[in-house]
Amino acid sequence: MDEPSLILSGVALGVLLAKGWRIGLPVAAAFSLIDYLVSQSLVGVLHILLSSIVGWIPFARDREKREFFCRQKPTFDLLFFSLLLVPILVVIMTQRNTSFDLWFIRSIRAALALVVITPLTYLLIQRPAAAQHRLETGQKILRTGLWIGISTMILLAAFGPLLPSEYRSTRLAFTLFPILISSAMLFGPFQHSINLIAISILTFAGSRMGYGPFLGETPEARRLLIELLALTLGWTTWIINAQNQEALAVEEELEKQVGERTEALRNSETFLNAVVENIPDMIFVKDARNLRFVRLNRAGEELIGRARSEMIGKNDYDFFPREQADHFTAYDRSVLSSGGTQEIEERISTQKHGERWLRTKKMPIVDSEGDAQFIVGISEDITIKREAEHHRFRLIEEEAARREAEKNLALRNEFLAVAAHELRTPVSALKLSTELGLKLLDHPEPEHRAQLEELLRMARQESFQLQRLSESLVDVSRIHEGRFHVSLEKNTDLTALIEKELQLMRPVLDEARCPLNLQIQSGVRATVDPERIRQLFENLVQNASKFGQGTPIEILLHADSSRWTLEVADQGIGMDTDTLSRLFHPFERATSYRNFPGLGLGLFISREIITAHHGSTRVEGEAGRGARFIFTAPLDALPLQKSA
Amino acid sequence: MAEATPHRCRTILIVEDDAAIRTALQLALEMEGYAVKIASNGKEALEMLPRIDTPCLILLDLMMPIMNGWEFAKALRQDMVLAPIPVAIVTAFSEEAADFEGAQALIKKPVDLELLYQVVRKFCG
Repeated sequence: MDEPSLILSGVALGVLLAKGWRIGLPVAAAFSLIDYLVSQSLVGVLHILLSSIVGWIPFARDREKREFFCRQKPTFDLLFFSLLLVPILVVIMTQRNTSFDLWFIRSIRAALALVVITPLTYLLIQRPAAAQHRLETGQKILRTGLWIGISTMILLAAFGPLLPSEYRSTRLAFTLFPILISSAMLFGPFQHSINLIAISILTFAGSRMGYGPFLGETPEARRLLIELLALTLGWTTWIINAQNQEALAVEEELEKQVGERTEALRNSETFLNAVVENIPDMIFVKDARNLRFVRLNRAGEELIGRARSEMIGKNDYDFFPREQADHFTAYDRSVLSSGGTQEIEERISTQKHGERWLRTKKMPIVDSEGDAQFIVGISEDITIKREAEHHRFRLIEEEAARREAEKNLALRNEFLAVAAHELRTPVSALKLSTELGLKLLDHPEPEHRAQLEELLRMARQESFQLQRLSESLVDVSRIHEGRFHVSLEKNTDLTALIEKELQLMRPVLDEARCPLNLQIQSGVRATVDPERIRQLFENLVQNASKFGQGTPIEILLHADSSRWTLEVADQGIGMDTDTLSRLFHPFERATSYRNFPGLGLGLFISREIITAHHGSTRVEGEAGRGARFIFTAPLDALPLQKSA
Repeated sequence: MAEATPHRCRTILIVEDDAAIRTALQLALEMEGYAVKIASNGKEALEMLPRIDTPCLILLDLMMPIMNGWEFAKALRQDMVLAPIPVAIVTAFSEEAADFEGAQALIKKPVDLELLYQVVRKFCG
């Protein structure tokens, strides 16, 4: 039994574990055959086959378990080691004649060979791709090897007391080393390697100092130590290399990721910059603490008239009049404390463009904890828009005023035409009657005297009518100039006044053929201007007879403890709501002049009369259903106090 | 009977809302010997016409309540019998008469008595 057969059995087991029995068993058989052909001994054949098959059996059915082979698991490793003991015992039994030293050393080498070669083969065949995997597997293999080595030593230490006294130092070493190594196992794989080196050096030094003959001068012992050292160095290099590669790979990966992110960030920043710079509105950012500018776009530079290099790091007080800066700062603070977006129109003084009006939206930018870090502002220059709007408003106002003036002018012109017509009618009657009268004077027959009398009466009537018309015109002009006054007389008998006026108006009412429905309360006395109340009543009755068109006219006079009320209602053509609203305007008429001649001033003047009595006017009516005019005033109207 | 003496009819109809003018006109015409009928608006005149001698002339005011001069004239023209009666407009507004079609004469207010007699003589002899 020598090293080649040990190596072959390790490789065979590795292949079996990695590739299964279909490949592994023929490999093991082939190796056995080679071993036999080389050594001409069945010992090697037995060793290869036994160790391969016995080592493989626990994993035959389970791939998971085979993977588990490379994992650190002390209990399993002990089991595995005990299986390995089989080939070792074979070696020991077949080489009885050898000295204790020699079989001891060989058994260790056999164990090491198996525990190193088998997993290494497995590993190589499985070809793990990543450095990380290689590293892990290397560590596992090393640990497994160490465990097996330690276990071997523990077993041998157990046999220690049985050793002859001249091997005392060996016994001591066997007892101490496992303890040392077990404690080293608590640390990482690199530490294992250091420990292995330390153990090798200690053992080698011990043997040189004469502790124990078997580790001393024998070539076998020296070979074992050198092998141990070489193995340890190899593993250490391998692991360090793997670690470095791993570290390098991780670093490369990191660098790549950082590079990609940086690039992405740069791209998105370039994009955002382009967007911000090309927006036609001013965009600025100030830090929330000191309200200093940290960002300003091109439109902002253009508007304020300063380069951003001049602005960045400074605040409003460096650029704007104190009053404006105070305003901006206070507003910024209010935006920051409110935490929401606010919009205002504000005026700023700029270097190049003078006073500008801005519509500015300001909002805080908060960090992940919700604290405002910055305030961002977006300002639209609305100066031109504003001016245009003002201009437009002015135009609209002027247009409205012009239309109003035109309308008033048209109304006045129409009124003048109406007034001329109204005046011409009595003038015409006057002229006719006087001319006729003169003509009658040529015929002094008695029967013509009565006609002459009638003509004169008519002329007088028409002159009254002319007087009334001119009074109305004077009233309108007084009202427009604010000179319309009443002469209030206390305790005026309203009932008597109305009844007397009704008598005087009989001819008009008879002419209109409107039946009267009178409800005149007796003894109504009030403080009024009798002349004006007569005028008012006459207006109302004339209207009612004109528009009533033969329908019954209702006239009511009544009073309670504080007010008197005069109502005149007809059942004639009535009026719609639009007409109602225009009814009391001077010169406006509810109807066509062709059908309802008249100055159209009656209601206007009537309302002024009742207002001068501190009273009020109300109209009820709808189209086709007549109209009711209600005038009411206090019984004791005080003379109107002219306010300054 | 209207057809019998169309040009020598001595009846004149005055349609006028103003009582004073109406009376004055009536007096003036009666003094010349015409028979005068009066109506205070167009509706009244239309109602009256079938019941009186066909007038040789209608003196028509334009602006009147209930039925104005334009409406009256329109109704008159639609009546086969009444349509031939000459109409003289008596108005204070000559502009208003401009859109009145088919009037035989125009007498402006204030009325000139001589002009009135001329017009009446022309139609009624």
